[in-house]
Amino acid sequence: MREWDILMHFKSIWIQTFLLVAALFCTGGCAKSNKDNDLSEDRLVAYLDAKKYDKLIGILEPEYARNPDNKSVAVFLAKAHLGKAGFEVLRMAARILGEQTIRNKTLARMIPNCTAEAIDRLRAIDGRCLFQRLLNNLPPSDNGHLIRARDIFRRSFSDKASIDDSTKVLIGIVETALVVMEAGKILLKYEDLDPVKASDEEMNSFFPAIAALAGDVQITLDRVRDIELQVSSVLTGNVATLLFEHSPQTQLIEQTAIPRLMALKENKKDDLEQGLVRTYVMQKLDDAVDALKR
Amino acid sequence: MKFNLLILLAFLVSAFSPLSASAGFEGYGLYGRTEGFWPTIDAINQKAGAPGEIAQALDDRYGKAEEGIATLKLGYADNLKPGVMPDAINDHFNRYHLAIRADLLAGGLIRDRIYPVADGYMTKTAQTEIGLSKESEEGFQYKFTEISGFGYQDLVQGTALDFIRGVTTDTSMVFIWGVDLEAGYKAKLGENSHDRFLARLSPTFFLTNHTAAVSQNKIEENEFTFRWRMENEWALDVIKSDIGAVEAGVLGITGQNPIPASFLLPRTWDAVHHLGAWPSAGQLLGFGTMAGLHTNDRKASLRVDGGFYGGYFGAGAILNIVGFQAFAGTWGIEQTAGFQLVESRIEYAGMGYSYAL
Repeated sequence: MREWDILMHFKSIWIQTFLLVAALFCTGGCAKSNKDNDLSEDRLVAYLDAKKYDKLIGILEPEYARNPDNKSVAVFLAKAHLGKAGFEVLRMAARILGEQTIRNKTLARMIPNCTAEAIDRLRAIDGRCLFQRLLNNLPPSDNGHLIRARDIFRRSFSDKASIDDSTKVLIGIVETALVVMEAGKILLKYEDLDPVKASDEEMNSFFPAIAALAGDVQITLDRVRDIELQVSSVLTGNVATLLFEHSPQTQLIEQTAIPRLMALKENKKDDLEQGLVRTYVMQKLDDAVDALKR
Repeated sequence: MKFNLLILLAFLVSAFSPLSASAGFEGYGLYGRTEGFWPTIDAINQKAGAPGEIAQALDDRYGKAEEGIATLKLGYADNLKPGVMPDAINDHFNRYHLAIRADLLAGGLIRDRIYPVADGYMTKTAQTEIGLSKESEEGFQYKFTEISGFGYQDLVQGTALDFIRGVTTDTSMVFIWGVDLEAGYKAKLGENSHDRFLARLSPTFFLTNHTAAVSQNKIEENEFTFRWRMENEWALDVIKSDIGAVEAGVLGITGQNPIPASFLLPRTWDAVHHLGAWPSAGQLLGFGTMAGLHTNDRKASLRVDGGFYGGYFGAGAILNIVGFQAFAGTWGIEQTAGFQLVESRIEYAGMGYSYAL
């Protein structure tokens, strides 16, 4: 038994020493220095939680450049850029549903008679007023971080079948938000433009903008196919109003009008109807609302 | 199974035997919780469908784990009587013990501000513990305990989408079976110093009925957890008198959640957090100091522990006066397999009583 005592005694001392050295080592440098190289999901989501978006971008951009097929890196990098753009979906939904302050007088004039009060998530919103709320609260379409997030999603998640449900909805939301904001931007910029009467110079900037938007619309419709309800609910905070509705009319637009608009690269005024852009867009919005009501 | 029946039989026989001087009851209750316990769970449960209220309630809760623990345990232990158990058992064990305990564990965590995912859970379990041990003041000792129990788990889980549409609570039954295997050694290293080493393995098997819940805290239909721990303490009597002694020492622990208060986390914690046997190295190590004083007859004692355990600083104390126990402390528990990523800082307090027959 004496030998056992001695053996256990030395074992204990050895274990204690090991613990002391290891604990001191990890309290000091080792753990901290490894943090920046740690790409574990737990570490990355901890940065998102702490709003350390710049740090995440700094870590993940070089990593993404090396390996764009790493889906985990891609999704966290895109989320970091979304964070920088102020694109937190819960807060956005809350803002869209909440009390509105008029930020754009042109918009308020263009789409009148919309309530500024907070609305119920279960009560359907008029399509035009929803459009107004979205334009009031989403980040602008030329936000560099938002565009970067979309580009990462497009590059690394082109195969819809391999994307998890949450990421699929998030991608749909980002694409939709950008399309809505870009449409709003074009509408506000060219509201007084009459394609038939406009100068060539005006039309040379209008056509590419419309063509690019039409291309984005087509991508968006493809992205949100089968998850229209989810994307619409999260983006608007409203479960009673659909941003996307399959109807013969929308199918017709998707199949004919979008390809036609995408091809608008030359100054072909004959392809457009006469009248102000504003009038045209509002008429189309009214048609869409009527179609949904029917 | 045969062995379990033997232990059960031994308990029944002993229960009707005259109790020896070393027999005794003991029990304790504890309540522990993190500082911001409930806001996340409350928001998930009560405010679903109101994204504005949820966003507001959860804004400062991202990545901050919320947990609450309540435990009640009653136990009995006695010497094994000669002739009651087979010689093969009497040769290796000198005591038996049994206990019943009830645990309530609840928690919640919301992560990812961009597209939030929140999980809330509550497990309510009751279990029996029965076992044998070889105990002595000094030298090699060991303990075997079999645990079985059952209870319920309630789960709520939601992504941003569910916060707008509404979330549902999912309930399922939980069955637990496990063992605690302990082996240790106590030695006097000289006139004034002593050394203690303890190793413990706690494999547990959880069985739940099917649930469609997708919560990350879900105990799976068949889940196996393996908790292990080694602790080593070296203490020195710095003052000795006719009344008692004051001691100070160092304590090193390896294993998952290496905090001195090993009784704090119920077994369900392991399953709810899918505790791996080998998380990050920093999380497996703990080191600290202890100080204590006690009367020579050990009827009154106070022990205070403090140090850096599993990546977080913490401290705890146990006061014992003639069988009455009071204890309190605060320890940081890591929620992930990483090091210092998501802390659940649990502050706890409890009371116990032991009565020697």
